[in-house]
Amino acid sequence: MRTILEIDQVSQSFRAGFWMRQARVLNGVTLSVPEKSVFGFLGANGAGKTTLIHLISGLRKPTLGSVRVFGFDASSIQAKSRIGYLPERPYFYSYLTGEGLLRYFGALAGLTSAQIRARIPTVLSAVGMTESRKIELSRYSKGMLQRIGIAQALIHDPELLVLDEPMSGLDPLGRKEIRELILKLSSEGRTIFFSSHVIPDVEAICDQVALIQKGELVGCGPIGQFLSEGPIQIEIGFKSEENLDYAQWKEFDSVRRMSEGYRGIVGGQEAVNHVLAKLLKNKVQILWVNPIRSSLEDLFARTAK
Amino acid sequence: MKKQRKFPTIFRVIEAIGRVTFLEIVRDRILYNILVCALLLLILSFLASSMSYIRPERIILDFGLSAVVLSCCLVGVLTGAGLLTKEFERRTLYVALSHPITRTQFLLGKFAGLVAVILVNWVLLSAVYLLILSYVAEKTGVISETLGVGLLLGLIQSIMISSVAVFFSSFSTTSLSVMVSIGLYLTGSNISQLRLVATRLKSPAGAFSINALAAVLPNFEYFNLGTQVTYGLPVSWRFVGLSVLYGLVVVGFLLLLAGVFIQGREV
Repeated sequence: MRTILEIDQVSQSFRAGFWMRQARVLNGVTLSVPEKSVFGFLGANGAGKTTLIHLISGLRKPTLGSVRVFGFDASSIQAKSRIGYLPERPYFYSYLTGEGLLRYFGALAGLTSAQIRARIPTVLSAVGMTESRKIELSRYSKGMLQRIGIAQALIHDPELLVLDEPMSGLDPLGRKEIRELILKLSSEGRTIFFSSHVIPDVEAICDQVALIQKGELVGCGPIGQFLSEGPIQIEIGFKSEENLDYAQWKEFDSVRRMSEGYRGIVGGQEAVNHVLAKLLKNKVQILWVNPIRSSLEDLFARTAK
Repeated sequence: MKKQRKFPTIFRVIEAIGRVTFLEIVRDRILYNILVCALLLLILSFLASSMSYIRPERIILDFGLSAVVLSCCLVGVLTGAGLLTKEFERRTLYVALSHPITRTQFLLGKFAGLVAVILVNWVLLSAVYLLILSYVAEKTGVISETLGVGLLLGLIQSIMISSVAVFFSSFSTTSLSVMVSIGLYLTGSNISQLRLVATRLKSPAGAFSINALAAVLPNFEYFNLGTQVTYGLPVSWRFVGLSVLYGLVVVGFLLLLAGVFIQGREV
């Protein structure tokens, strides 16, 4: 599959502080994004995700290395005309209506007035904002701003969508809707590159992920590959009539009492089987058995080793 | 999905950004404060002229023209100084710059929007001014060609001071841009006084420095017709043409420099 985004040994420094010393934000980042993939860029706050997205969107040039989009330098107009960009926070003119915003960005993207008129209903319908098109952005909710942000990124029908934390600040329903929207856009044949610091968001929709920590790329590949690494832990919730001291059971890593029963943490598949059999033998009611997802910190701790 | 991509023309970009900037400025309360002050000044000149027995229309002529020009200059400086800084602070230019446009095109679009606001302000105030003047001086015929030239040069002057404010806003803060622009306007409106000071200095180095400063600073005296408007004295078209040309060259030069400065400004 064709590679459409190539980031080669990119480093980025900023001048900071009173003496304007160079502070390095990205250090030798190299990755490539294949066409028609959903690529997640995972990292904690301040890891350098937004800086790299600014480089991809052509908002700034790297201090070292190169960023090429469709074979063109990312800051060239050839590259920019094929990218749709959504910033982390929707920095839009609050006095414009949704439709006015799309007209503005459509013109900047090089569309004619007729093309803009034709595209507006399509993109508004794609993001479910047709009803709100005449309302000023100052009256939009956070979710609506994210949606209109995605609509403006789609106005010129780009092949690559670069979304900076598209689910940030949204409620669970809003996150779900944006995830579904990303999958829908991907099914239309677009390549999607998006950043996040929430693993489930990335896991649900990404083909591949890149992990960034303190400006350095610490891993790249399918998300399952990272999540399956390391020790497996499973949480068992159960209710017991008998007042046994479950903490003494050697199979449990830890046991905590709660109002409706107990929560026990077990490590490894074999231990789970053993504990479940033992609990059932004691006529204990099993409430749930859940694998414990790795946290971002766990993931980084493992990949950094 | 491979398709032929078209890039926006510079005029299309300027028009789109200019339109949005125009909408942004007309929502700014400061514009209306300036406009109301200018209208009050025009009404005040009308009242003052009614108390004068000798050539009352001259009071309106002087007061009115100053009110129109000062109002346009204030709009230019106070909104022009924040034009780029606001974009960087609010990060509203991020998405715009991710499109196939250059930073210079963005700057030109913002400036075009500002000029459009100044133009509307100028047309509105000039209309009120001429209305009052025509009512008071029906028989005296003070509405001369020179007055029209004075208004036109006032417009060019306010566009020029706006470009000064935009230039400073490309690398400085809003408040500093306002202060420096007003300082330059006051100095630039008294270039002949500056040269006079140079002739009276005993130190040749000092005189040279002041003359050099007078040559470098934007000269707003070219746009101030003063008593020529009051007395309806003719102004040569050569002078008018050269003044307009001078104004446009200064505007172009300052926007060019502003374009260079915002290229290096970090987003």
